[in-house]
Amino acid sequence: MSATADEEFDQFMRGRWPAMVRLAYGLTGDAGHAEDLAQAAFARAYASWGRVSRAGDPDAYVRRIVINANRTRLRRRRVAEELRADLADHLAVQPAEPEHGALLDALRLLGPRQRAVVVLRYWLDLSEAETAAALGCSVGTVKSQASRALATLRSTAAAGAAGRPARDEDIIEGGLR
Amino acid sequence: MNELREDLDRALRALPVNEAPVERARRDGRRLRARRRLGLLAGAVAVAAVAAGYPALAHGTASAPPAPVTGRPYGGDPVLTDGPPAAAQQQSTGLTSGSGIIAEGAVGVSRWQLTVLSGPLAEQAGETCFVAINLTGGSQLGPNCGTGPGLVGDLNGNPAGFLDLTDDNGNVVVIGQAAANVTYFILTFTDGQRLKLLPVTVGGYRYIGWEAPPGMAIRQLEAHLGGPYSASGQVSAAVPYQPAGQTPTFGRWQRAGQTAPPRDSQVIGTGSGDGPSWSVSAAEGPWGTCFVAAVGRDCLEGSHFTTTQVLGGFGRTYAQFRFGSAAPGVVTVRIALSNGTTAVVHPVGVGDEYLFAFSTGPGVTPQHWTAYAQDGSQVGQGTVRQ
Repeated sequence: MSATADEEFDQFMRGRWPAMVRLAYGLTGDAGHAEDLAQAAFARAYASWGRVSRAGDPDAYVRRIVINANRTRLRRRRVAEELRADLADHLAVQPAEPEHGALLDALRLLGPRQRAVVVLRYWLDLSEAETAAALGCSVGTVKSQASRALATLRSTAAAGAAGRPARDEDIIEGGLR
Repeated sequence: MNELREDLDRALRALPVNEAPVERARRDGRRLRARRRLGLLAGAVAVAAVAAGYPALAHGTASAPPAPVTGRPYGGDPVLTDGPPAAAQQQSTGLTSGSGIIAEGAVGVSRWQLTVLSGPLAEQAGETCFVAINLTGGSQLGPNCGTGPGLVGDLNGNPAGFLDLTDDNGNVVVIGQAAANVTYFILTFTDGQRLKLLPVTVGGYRYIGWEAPPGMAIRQLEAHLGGPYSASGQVSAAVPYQPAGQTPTFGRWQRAGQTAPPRDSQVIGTGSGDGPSWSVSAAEGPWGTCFVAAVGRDCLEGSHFTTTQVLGGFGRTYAQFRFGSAAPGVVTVRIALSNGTTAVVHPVGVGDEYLFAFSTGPGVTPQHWTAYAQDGSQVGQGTVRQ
């Protein structure tokens, strides 16, 4: 890659890094995974930078990789998510982390798919069809997940409680598939 | 909903974000590009169809470009390969493609074409690129480019090295770079379908490639060794590591008579500490040994790890995971880290190996290790190669 292309990539990554980490955080609810997802996405963009930059919208390219990577992650964790749904009622509520804010804590109370629906549908402002495509599910699933997620967010806000839920990573994946 | 959007925006913008790890992303990107390039070049070898009837490919028989053949149905998505491109030329070194097209075929009704671009056709001088085109849908995967020898780089004495990608339809696209002493490959899927893959030379390197539906697993890949058109009868085979729905990784090739490692998989490390929880698993089998974490997997070609050592690691900016092996009889390994702390691990038996994993903070590296036996006696020590 030429020095000019390298500089162009550096400038792009430094400018868009915070936004991608925040998107990834919204999708995963975990700072560690958020930075990993974002960095992997930028690495892929660098690997194909000539094509990506010529396409004219590298931001969309990186965003799509982040979303797709999270979708893959969701697939792998589907079983864990189901387990978590059963366990959620039994989890002890812990103090919120103030730097993340009550809304983010409430967001983390949601299952991974519901959280992704909220972030894509209501933060990125994607349509239901676009959200469904990004998550690899049906529009009906997006509607139902959004409805449940909003109900949970509303009830959490009404209760004024922002407990820390179990993170996805609290469920250890069982061996190799 | 505008209020929710504004609240989300405000909350997410309040998140503290570390400085962009540009250099690390560039390094990972270069590795990715090199890996893609290698696999693509290797994949330039055309996929020749084998299927019903399985064309006569007896050892010692010259292999001219075969006629198109249709594979047997696979769950409604038959895998079709046309063999090397019609324009491929038979030269003394084997089939050569001037256009760069190394293979064409179809998955169900969706037709695909794999092309390697080198020399003046590459995006930039000195690069080799590959492109997978969905001829039916019009979408394109790549070009993915790299600057090493061929697409895959050094084959380390193996018959082939591979790059694997997933296209927009979820199909697995595999491009391999073939060694000079391979006459052809036989790819066998778990449903019994078989494809004969003839290497095609582009830019001085030989490639094979294929596309398969998601979930279509590979049983094994045989490399029939010999000259460009005449096999000697020697065969080297690889069984890939391929978790359900994922791309295959070919880590180990073996000749007839060699014993494959036993199949086993275990979680070899978990934890949380002050950071996010993590888990690393290991899978031993005919592919060698693969280490798997949420951030990726690493399959090592070493056939059998019987000594205590730190073998490698995963992770980027936030968490680093390292994995290693222990000699039989070692029950505890203490690893001194660069920040002055010590990681203590207890190796887990996986097949006939003893493996472990541990986590370090960002920027922290393992320095040296000390191994202990069941009775607490020290049985070994060493330095970690960075």
